[in-house]
Amino acid sequence: MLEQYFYALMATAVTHAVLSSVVYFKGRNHLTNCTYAAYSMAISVWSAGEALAITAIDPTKALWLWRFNHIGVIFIPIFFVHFVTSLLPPHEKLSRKPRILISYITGLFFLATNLGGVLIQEVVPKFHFNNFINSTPIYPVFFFLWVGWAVYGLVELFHLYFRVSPVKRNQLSYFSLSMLVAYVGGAPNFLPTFNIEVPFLMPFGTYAIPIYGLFTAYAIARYRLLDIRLAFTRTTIFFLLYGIIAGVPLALLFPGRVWLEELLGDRWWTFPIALYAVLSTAGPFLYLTLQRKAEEKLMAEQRRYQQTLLQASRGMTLIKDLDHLLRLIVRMLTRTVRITHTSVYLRNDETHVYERRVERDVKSESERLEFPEGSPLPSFLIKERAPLVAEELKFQEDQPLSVSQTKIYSDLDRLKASVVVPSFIQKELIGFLVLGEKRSGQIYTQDDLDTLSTLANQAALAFENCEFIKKVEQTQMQLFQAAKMADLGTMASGIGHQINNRLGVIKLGAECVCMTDLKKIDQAARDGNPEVILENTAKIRESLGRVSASATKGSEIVRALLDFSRLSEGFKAVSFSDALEHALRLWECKKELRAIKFENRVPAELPLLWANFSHLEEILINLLDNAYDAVKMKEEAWELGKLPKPENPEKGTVVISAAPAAPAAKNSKSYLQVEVSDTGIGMDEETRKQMFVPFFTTKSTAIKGTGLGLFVIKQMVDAHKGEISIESRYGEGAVFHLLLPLAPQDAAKP
Amino acid sequence: MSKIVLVDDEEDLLELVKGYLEGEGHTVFTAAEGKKGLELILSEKPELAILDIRLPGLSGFEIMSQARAAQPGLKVLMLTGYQDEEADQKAVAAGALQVLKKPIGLQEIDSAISASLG
Repeated sequence: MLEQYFYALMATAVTHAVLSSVVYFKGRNHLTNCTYAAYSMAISVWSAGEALAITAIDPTKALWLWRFNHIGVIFIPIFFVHFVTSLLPPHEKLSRKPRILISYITGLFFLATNLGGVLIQEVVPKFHFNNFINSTPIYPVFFFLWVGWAVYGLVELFHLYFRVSPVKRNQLSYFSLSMLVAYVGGAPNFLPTFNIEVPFLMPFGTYAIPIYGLFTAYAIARYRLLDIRLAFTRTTIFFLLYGIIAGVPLALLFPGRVWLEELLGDRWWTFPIALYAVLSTAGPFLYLTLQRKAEEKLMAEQRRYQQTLLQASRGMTLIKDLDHLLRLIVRMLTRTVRITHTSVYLRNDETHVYERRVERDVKSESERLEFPEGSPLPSFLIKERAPLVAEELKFQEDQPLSVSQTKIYSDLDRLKASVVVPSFIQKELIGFLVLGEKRSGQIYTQDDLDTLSTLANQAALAFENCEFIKKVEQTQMQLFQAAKMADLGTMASGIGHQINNRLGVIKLGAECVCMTDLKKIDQAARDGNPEVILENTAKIRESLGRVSASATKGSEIVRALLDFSRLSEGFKAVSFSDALEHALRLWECKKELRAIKFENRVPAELPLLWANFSHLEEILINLLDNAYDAVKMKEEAWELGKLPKPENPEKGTVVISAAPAAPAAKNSKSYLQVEVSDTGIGMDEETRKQMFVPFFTTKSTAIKGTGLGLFVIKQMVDAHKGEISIESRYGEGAVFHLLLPLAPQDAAKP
Repeated sequence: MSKIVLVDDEEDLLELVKGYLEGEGHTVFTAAEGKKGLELILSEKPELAILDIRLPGLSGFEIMSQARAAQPGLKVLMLTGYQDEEADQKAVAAGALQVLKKPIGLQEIDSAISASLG
């Protein structure tokens, strides 16, 4: 019976000493961890002291061991109360301060009476024990207060249990239950002092205490209580395993000796030693295997989504569109981790405010907030550089609350956030993820938070990537626009001429009518000569017809001009013929088309293109321009004698044609094949290779090539996901081939 | 009244101006293209030629210099839709009496013609 006590108490002492140190070193700057470590240590002192005291033979030694034991006893409920208080919300923590202070004063008082030899004065053999203390006059007072503090702590704990969120309750349920078991089981150890024996609870109640330790360990491992989950799992496995490795041979060595001697005779000791050697060799392997198994078991369901999230993290930087990326992230988080809501806040670089960019809400309503740079929440995230767990923040010990903390609490409340995960690129806070509760009611474990941090930081890179791509696209758009504007500049005088011609006809037409035809009609009316009147009204009709036609043509030029100069409107289904018509109208303004032979072989009916109208125009104008210039350069070459001039030189020819490309032309998409051919100067292989290089030009300064035309065209064609290529021979002309993708069948006509 | 050759690439303008000038009693020949214009001048020997500066085939300048070679007394009015002061000065330096700017009115044509024909 005495041995039962001894083993139970020693088990308690060892487990609690280990528990205490692990908890302490895993969070020595958290009050919760410190008080819990102290509490465990007090239990350890109590049980070690009692184990040794009850088995001690020498009464003097036993008396001192009992006094040592009581150092632990005295502080068990006091540390317990302090620990429970540390779990309370901050304002309540503050109001409990006087009570904590009083509890420590009573503790110190009894410590003094204990060490001064007043609390415990004599030990006598009692029941199964070699010796046990006898009550002193002060002992009942001590006992009464001890029970008082323990009950108070338990009441506080249970009170807390019913107020906290389901998540926290999950943690506390194991904890509260185990505390109750421990006190009910442990408290009867006092009874022999008052000469009371409780048959069942003694000695078995004592076992409740290491059981409580196991409960706590489970709570820690499963629910991140005190934040030491992995360390604890490993420690437990280590101690259990080496307990077996060291313990089994030891058991064979001493209690099993008789049995072994019967079996093996004089050499009985070889067996335990061999066993010991085998076990110690196998130990490390077993340890690692068990550890991996245990961790897998503990985290099976988390591993599932953590794996998904990590995989997703790696793929994120491949996504180019920010909105798409954001939607993907929240969808993934909400689905795989199964959370009530997820939103992403990103910093707006212009306003320096963190704004909600995307949100997915399953069954809670989180508010949309804005956080200026330097406001409490972003500042806190930057300072901590770690996920902010709302529950932990609420139960932090800092006292009293600062203004910024209060603001963070209220913000988290309005966001309905369980966790806020910051996204960093180096020291810069790019944004943060706001996550609601897990729908399973479980809390976010440390592993979850690590995974989420990885995801968030990976996301930060992906965000930056998207921004970069967007900027590149913007720059490209600006380049395209600039190229168009430069083209417009070269058209200006041609356009002015065209418009003036129209206006000239209009003016002359109107004046002819006023100054001649109408005068003649007036005269004829006076003379009563209807034939002259009719003759002149016919003339007027003809003149007004010219006026009207000129006005129409003039307005068409203006419209083409405005269309062309307008900022591009992005991609849509467009008609190639429309774009060509616009391009030709401007081309006419730019070049003297009568100097060449131009043939438009584009059929009226063509499938719609998926294109940027204004860029398509620019592509066509540039290709036509180049063809025209090539024709002119050939004529120049004739004059300069660089090329043999034929006897009857014909006008150079430029032909444009288009037809849907044969389906086999390129992958499964449908394309329109456009050809712009000319009989101009052409180019050699070397030039052809450099065609699309920026600033490369063969044009003389007279024709004024900037060397940017084809470079920009290539960029625009690429932006259309099309292709451009050239066939040419020097002196014989060139053919530009364009492949432009068709609009999807269901795309609406513009 | 006088014989006038009018060369411009704008058919509508040719018709309208021709109609007006004929109404005023002039004899008017028109061409919409440089080479044909020069041929007309050489064959008809008009007193006045009204030439667009920029024309398909031959330019107004080329017509003027070649026509003057055959008919030194030919009076020339230039016509242009471009805002190009340099070209205007060049035209006057080459012997054009005046450069008329499009859009042009009948009264301008009238007064330019009467000024040049004296």
